[in-house]
Amino acid sequence: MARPVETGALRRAVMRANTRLLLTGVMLFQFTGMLLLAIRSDSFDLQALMFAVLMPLVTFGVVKLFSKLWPVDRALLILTLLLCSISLVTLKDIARSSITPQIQAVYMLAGLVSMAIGITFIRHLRSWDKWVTPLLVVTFLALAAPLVFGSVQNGAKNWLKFGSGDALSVQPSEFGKLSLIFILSSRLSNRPRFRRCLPALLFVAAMCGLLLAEKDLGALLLYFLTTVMMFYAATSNLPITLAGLGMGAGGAVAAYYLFPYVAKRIELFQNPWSDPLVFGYQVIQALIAIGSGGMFGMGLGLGYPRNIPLYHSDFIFAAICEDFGLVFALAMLGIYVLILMRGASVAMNARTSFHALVAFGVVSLLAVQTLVIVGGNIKLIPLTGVTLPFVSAGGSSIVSMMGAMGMLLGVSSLNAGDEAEDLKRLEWREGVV
Amino acid sequence: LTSDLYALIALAARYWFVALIVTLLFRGWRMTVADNRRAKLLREWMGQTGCIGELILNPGSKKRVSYPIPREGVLGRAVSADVRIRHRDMQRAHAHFELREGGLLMVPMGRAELKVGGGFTGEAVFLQDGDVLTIGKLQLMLVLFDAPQEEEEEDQWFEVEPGDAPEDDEADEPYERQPEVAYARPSKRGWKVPVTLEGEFIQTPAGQSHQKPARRARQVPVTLEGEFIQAPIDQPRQKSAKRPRQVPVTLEGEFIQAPPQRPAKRGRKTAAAFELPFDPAPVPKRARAAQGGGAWDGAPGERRSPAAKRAKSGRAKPAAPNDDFNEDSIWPDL
Repeated sequence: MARPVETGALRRAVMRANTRLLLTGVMLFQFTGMLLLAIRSDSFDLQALMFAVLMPLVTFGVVKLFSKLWPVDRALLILTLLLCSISLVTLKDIARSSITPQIQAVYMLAGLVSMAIGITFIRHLRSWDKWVTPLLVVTFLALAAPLVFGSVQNGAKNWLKFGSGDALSVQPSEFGKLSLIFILSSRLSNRPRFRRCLPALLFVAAMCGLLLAEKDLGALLLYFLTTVMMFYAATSNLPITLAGLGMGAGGAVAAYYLFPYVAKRIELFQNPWSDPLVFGYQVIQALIAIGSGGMFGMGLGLGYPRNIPLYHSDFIFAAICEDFGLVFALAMLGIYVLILMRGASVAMNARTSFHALVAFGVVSLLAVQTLVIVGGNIKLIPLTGVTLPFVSAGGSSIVSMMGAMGMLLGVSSLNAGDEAEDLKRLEWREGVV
Repeated sequence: LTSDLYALIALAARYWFVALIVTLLFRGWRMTVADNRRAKLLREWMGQTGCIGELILNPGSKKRVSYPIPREGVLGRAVSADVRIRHRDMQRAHAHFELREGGLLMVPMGRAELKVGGGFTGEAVFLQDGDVLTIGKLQLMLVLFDAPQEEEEEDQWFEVEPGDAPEDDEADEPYERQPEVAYARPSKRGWKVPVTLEGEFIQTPAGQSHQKPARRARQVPVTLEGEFIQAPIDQPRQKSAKRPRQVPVTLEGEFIQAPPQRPAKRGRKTAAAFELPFDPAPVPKRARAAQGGGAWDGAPGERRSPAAKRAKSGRAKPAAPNDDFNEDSIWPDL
């Protein structure tokens, strides 16, 4: 008679890690951070007090609701919400107007809806090929629209403004990232030969051309690097990947000589003090802020990061360094690394190449975007105008990145379902009770 | 608060925030490591993790060789193939397969050819559970784990309509008259069957996955002897059952435990890449003669086949006895 296997080790092995401490820690951070800001002025700041109460409640509710609806990776969700909390607390501290954190909170709620849509979309998607052509057309038109109807902001013509007094502004290149990941995942799945990849790669090249025409160098860099990484992950074709990287490097050199604003960026990267009051002002102020923060920061509400232009969007990392200190900022980067690790794990455990590529595309995008903007803040690489994912202020960015995270969580929930099926089979087979 | 007092609190709170985020980072790290370890352990425990079925080599032959198949991948001879079958009729990358609704879509790659059953097809083929794929001299039967069972197996079950349940005073009669069908049959793949015990009947639920599609709940009479269910004589499709068999049962969580026929093999590194247990290389005629006659009589310097070498050195693996084959065991040793 077959004896059931020893169950203790397996039971411990199959148990999912407990996220209670993680969730409690995030809620504590939200509560204490906002409470500290509420007592900053002589009278209680009611908005901060409201945030201190509502943010933990929303976090708790979202985690419970999403976990109940889908078997998503809760740790991934909680870590994402932690980054959003850091964003709101920092914005509440440094924003000149009290309306900024309020609007950002609304954008985050919209981002949570976008995340739910992303999860549902990935979970219920059965035939992804039929979505490719419509998405391709819509994305191309959306990216081309700023060339005709767009307005210039921060040197790039990549914004569409709607409503009276430009009440609502949208950056189509932010939403194009989701389409890019989806289209590449669909066309590069099932181990394609290079010829089958060509249409998708040509489409990406066309998108990069549009972004170059709009002078949106940050988005261009993200699109290009994400595509190269996904291509290599899908095909393992090292020569063509290296050739693509070489073409990108050649294009960058050509852009240096052809476009004056590219040359200016490189020049400022090499020596921002060559023009300290105009073009180099941003980087210099960011470096001063990071340096003045020290190891543990100047204290929440005690810093002066408002001297940095775009302190709430592109340079929020420098503001965090000044307020919370270098250790905190490094730990925040560690949180990004954890998200990337878990995302890579989701990609590796996915059961179809499409889902694996979707997860890997989101992870690549997140990694490249974080690296580019943090590197630009600390003068590691030339500065390009992208947002710090989940942290920088901006509606388009937060909604699109939450949607991307929703796609990643959707793949993780599919993995969890498959894993549960495997465990059930294992129980049936081995007698693990 | 005065600004001085606030500054004091804010300066003290810096350490709190740092401690908090470092704790969260550490906890997240521990969770990630634990989750990865759990996934690795699961893969080790169950080499077929993520597989949706298996390809059985030459169905009907005495030796049962099967290849677990993932949901999507490449069938071929190359090391990089997800399902690797080393045979001369197999191309390096022979076909790409993908699970679709109700079956497996298989698309030949390059000049590879696929035949399903007897017919030739050069384009994509849609395989369903039980279909036999022919590649040269290879025959591969597809078994999908989650495929719905055929309706004709319904008659193997002793079914009682909910309204037709025997009265209490007549409850023992069916056991004496029809002991050969009175049992809760474990799934033919050795999985657990969820049941509830009601009186002396086992109530099986309707519509179990991995079970045959049940339209309604069934009641199956059983005899409980201690912790054993008396299995019937001569089960249908049960080749090795020569005498009444006792099926151990653990009633925990309303599950009857079907016994695995063999302990699972642990320590498999990969899920789907297996090698044939025999030498797939064609053996020259002289080598075959050598195997039959014993001594190798080839010319000096002539290449000796690995099979002949093994036969010569006496290290040839004994063939697995056919009695080991049991349909209750879904994961036989390869």
